[in-house]
Amino acid sequence: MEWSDEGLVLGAQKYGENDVILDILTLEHGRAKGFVKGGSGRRLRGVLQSGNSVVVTWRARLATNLGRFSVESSTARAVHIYGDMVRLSAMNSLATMLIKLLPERENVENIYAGYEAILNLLSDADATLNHCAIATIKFEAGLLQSLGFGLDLSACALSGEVDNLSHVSPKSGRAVTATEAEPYVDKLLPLPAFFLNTSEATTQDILDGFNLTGYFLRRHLFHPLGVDLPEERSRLVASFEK
Amino acid sequence: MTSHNPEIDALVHLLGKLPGLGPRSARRAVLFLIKKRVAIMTPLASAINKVAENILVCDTCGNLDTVSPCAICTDPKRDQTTLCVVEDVADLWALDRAQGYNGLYHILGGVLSALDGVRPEDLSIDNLIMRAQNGTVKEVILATNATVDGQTTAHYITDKLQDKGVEITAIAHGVPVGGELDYLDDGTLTAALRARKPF
Repeated sequence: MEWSDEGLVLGAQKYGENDVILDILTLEHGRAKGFVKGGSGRRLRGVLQSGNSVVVTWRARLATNLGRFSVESSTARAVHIYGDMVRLSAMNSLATMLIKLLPERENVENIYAGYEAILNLLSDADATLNHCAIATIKFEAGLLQSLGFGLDLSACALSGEVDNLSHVSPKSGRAVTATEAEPYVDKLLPLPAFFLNTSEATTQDILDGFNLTGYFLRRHLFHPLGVDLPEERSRLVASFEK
Repeated sequence: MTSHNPEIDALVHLLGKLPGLGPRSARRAVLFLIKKRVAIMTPLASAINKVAENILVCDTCGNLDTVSPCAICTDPKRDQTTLCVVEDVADLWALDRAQGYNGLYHILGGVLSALDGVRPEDLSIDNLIMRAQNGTVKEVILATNATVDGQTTAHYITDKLQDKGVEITAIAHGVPVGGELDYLDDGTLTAALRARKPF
């Protein structure tokens, strides 16, 4: 068995002295794991950092084997990201989510495209931290959608109106207008405006966004696995709370 | 095993567990030790025994020594106002070997890692914060590795030390001494360019 693909490094677990088990999100083969000989050695350690793009060739005798990767560097992004706590926390949080939530060897091209786009944004020095946070929140919402638990923000769940959507029902994940939300406002989740248009966001909008996606990620994806949201995500949210 | 002797087999088995040694190398090492029984094997056994009996982990910095606090922490010639934070004892030894730093150290005992399940409470971060607040320390130098996990840990520590009244600095990343640009990876070159300074 052999295939070659481009991929985004999610993480690498040390195996023995110089080797690693690489966890990678590939374009055509989805999330894949494999043994990398010398992966924690001088030549490859820098290449196998989370966020970097690589070209891999996977080889194994049987499709069910762990297999071995041979790796070549494509784009080094980690070095642009790890200088800033918010960007680094966002990348770590998303990489941990993808490792925990995505099944292995299932094509997830849309998630790949979204993750590559957000990594490019996080490594772009000109992108503001607010933009990075908004993109992270939107990626989380997209992840929910891809895994079958998408939010329905197209129209009000009660009136069917498409304007003035202001909250989301924690039960159904559907949007409601400000008028319909009024009697239940303490039970509903605020919907930040950046979900509906491209307007700038305040810090409170960003915190509302993290609260919204965090609620549904926890409820539908993490709690069934018996784990909580990644700690890196808490650090990311905390950096905006300050 | 092939020696037909349980004592030798046990020794081969134990040596084979050392980093860099497999069963074949362990067999070669055992044969070498047996041949050099007086010159190497007996002193080696004695040295291992002494280390096993006497080595402690320093309560202050996490270094290995026969006393706690260790010789580095109690050395009056060292600059007591700077604290260099490293991941492991091997990093402390590397920095001390270079003789470019004469302050104190603090060993974290690893780095934060979501994949390996290492959380802040698994590291010696609380102890570091206490040391940084003792009134003597003026500067904390973060010397964690230039990896995503190393830098995540550095940012976490920076956040925790933010209001503690100490200057927080980090070691530079970039071109190694003797390094040729043509042979460096993209990440190292980018880090070096970003950390450029007036010449």
